[in-house]
Parts: sequence; C-alpha cells; structure tokens
Amino acid sequence: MSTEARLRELVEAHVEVTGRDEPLVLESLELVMLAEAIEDAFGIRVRAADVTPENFGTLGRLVDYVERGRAA
Amino acid sequence: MKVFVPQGVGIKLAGTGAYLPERVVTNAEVVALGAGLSEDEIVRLSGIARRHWAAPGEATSDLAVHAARAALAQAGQPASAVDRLIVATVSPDHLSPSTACFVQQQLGLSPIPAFDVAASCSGFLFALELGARAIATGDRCVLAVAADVRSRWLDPTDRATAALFGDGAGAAVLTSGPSGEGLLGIGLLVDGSGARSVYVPGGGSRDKGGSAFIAMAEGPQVYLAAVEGMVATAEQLLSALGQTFDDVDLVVPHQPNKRILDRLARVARLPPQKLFINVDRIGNVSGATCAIALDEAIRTGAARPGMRVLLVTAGAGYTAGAALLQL
Repeated sequence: MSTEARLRELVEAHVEVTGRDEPLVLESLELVMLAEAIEDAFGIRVRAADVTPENFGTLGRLVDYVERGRAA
Repeated sequence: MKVFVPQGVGIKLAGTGAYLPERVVTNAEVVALGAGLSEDEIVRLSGIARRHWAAPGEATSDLAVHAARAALAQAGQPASAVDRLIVATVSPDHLSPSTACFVQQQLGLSPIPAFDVAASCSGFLFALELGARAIATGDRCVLAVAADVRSRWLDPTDRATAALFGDGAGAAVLTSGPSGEGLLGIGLLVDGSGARSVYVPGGGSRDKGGSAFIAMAEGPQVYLAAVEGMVATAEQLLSALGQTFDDVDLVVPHQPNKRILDRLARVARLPPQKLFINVDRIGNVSGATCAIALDEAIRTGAARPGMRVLLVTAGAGYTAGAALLQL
C-alpha cells in the first residue's frame, strides 16, 4: 500500500478526505491520535514542533512530511 | 538544563505529605457542567475517572497547610524547626502577597524566609531544587510545598481543559543527611517558546481584564511537548549522574493525563510497572501532582527504602524538571 493510501486510511478514521490538497479539519485530540497512528504505521517520531499546518494541513502535505521523516 | 548535584552533604527527604479536598467530582458532574464530552470520551481520551475540587472559600494555602502538617508529622519535625518555606503554585490565594505568607501564618512558623515559586506543572521540583540548595548552604530544615486550586480558573464548557484538572497539595520536608542518600541530583529548565501553550490570559499586568480561564489552544503540541520535555530532562539528569532508566526502580511523573503517561512509557521504553500512576483518581493537579504522587507511592509501599526513584515533570511555560532520589 502506498504512503498516500495508508495515510488516507489513518486520516479517514477521523474525518473525510475530499481531496489531496483540501484542508483537513481535525480537532485537537484527533490530531494527537493521528500523530500517534502515523508513528506506529511508519516508524517515525512526530515531535511537537512538527504539528503545524505546513505538515498536517492537507493529505498531500502529510504525505510529504512522512516521506521526509522516513528518508531522514 | 541546569543540574544540581549535592556535594559533601546529603539532602534527606525526611517526610512527605499530601492533601486532597473532600469534594470528589465525577465525570458525570463535569459533563453536566457542559464540558462537551461524554463520560466515556473523558475516560477514553484522558484516563481520568474523577478529581477533587476545593470547596467554596477553601483556598490554595488551606490545602498547602494540610499537606505541610502531614509532611512535618512524618518527618518528626515540629513547625518550629522549619527555617525556610517554599510554596510552588500558579493559583495563589491572592495576586499579592505570596501564598507562602498565609501558609507561614497558619502553620505558626517562626519569622523565616517564605516565598512562592511559579513553575506550573513542574512547581514541586522547582521548590525541591531551591530547598535542596538551601540545605546544601546551611539550612537545617526546609519545607517545600506545592499546591494548586486550578478549578477556580476552569471554563466548564472548554472541551480541552474542563475534565483534566483537580485540586490538591503535596509537601516534602528536607533536612541534611548522609552523603549519597536522599536527593542524588535534580535538574530544571524553562523554554519560554511555550509561554502561551497553557496560560491564563487575564489578571496580570499584560491584560488585567482578560479571560480568567485556563487557555490551551494548541493541545497536540502541548501533549507531544510534555513527553519530549519529561524524557529529555530525565535523560540529561540520569546521564549527569552516570545512570540510565535501567538503574531506576520507579518513575513518579507529573500526571497530565493517562495517554501522555502511556506515551512517556513508550518513548522512554519503560515497563508499565516502573511508572507510578494515580491520574485516574485525582486528575492533573498542576504543580502539586508529582508531590501528591510521590507521597502516595511512599505511603502505599510502591516506593520503598532502598529504591531509586525518578521524579519527572513538564508543564506550561514550558517548564520541566527531573530529580533522582535514593530512598
């Protein structure tokens, strides 16, 4: 399964994804749960400073963020 | 981080005490007040089943006095022996004077130095560090108290905070003791980039008429930063003392919520039995949390003589601290 497909599954556990570049509207606690699900799924550590609109604002940005984390 | 390692004199933890107000507030009551969460959601998201709130008219100093008396009794020290009082709080009786003034008067202490420190959820460790330094420079008996009544500043309709906070107080009596026992080392830090992470906007000189409710706008960042702060300070302290988490018998952390503690265990690779947890029954009692948990751990036998106990905290500000005790 591609990174994008897996991330779409994780995000859709909380909100519907209407498009790769559409804003994700997640509540505070949903963001926390998503961050920890991403850690478990991709073996990366999400840090407090990472949880920004630039990284978590859309599905596309999340894909970029996770791929950067996996490459590091 | 600044680490203090006592040299030439031991810092003995002569006694601990704690006090929780009589009123127990269930999740059903929090929901009824308008928290915007169901009882099941509160338990699932925070692991908190109940907390204690101070009665109307019951102030932070009142809680502090109860905890201080219990700590002095356990230490076998009369009030007249105390030659310094430090009160950690971010919910003082009044903006002025310090809550320590009221505690000093209620305990009947001599005219000694007594003052407040504000370090949010790391309050107890900031008081403990100052107390340890005072013992190392000649004080004979220091009373370090952490007390908070955060319920007064809670917006009952704020989903982010309404269910999290409880009220209470914890205290420790420090005296000199054998070198190599008691407090082996303590480290503190502040990172002001988080100064508005969890804060009360109004009432101070910046915005006297502003909101008097606790604001936590960036919950996910606070959640993750809390664990990062606790792990980093603990690792730095342990490294400075030539120790690792494997050398620690019990970790008594600040208890913001159960999910954060689960994450702490995962990130620090701590087996669950090494973590002392009581957040389910008392909630987040801000700066007093770690002191209350330490007292409970000692009184229930979870922390016993001979054990090496790590205290670790993180809180608004950001503040963080860690202390290693040889009981």
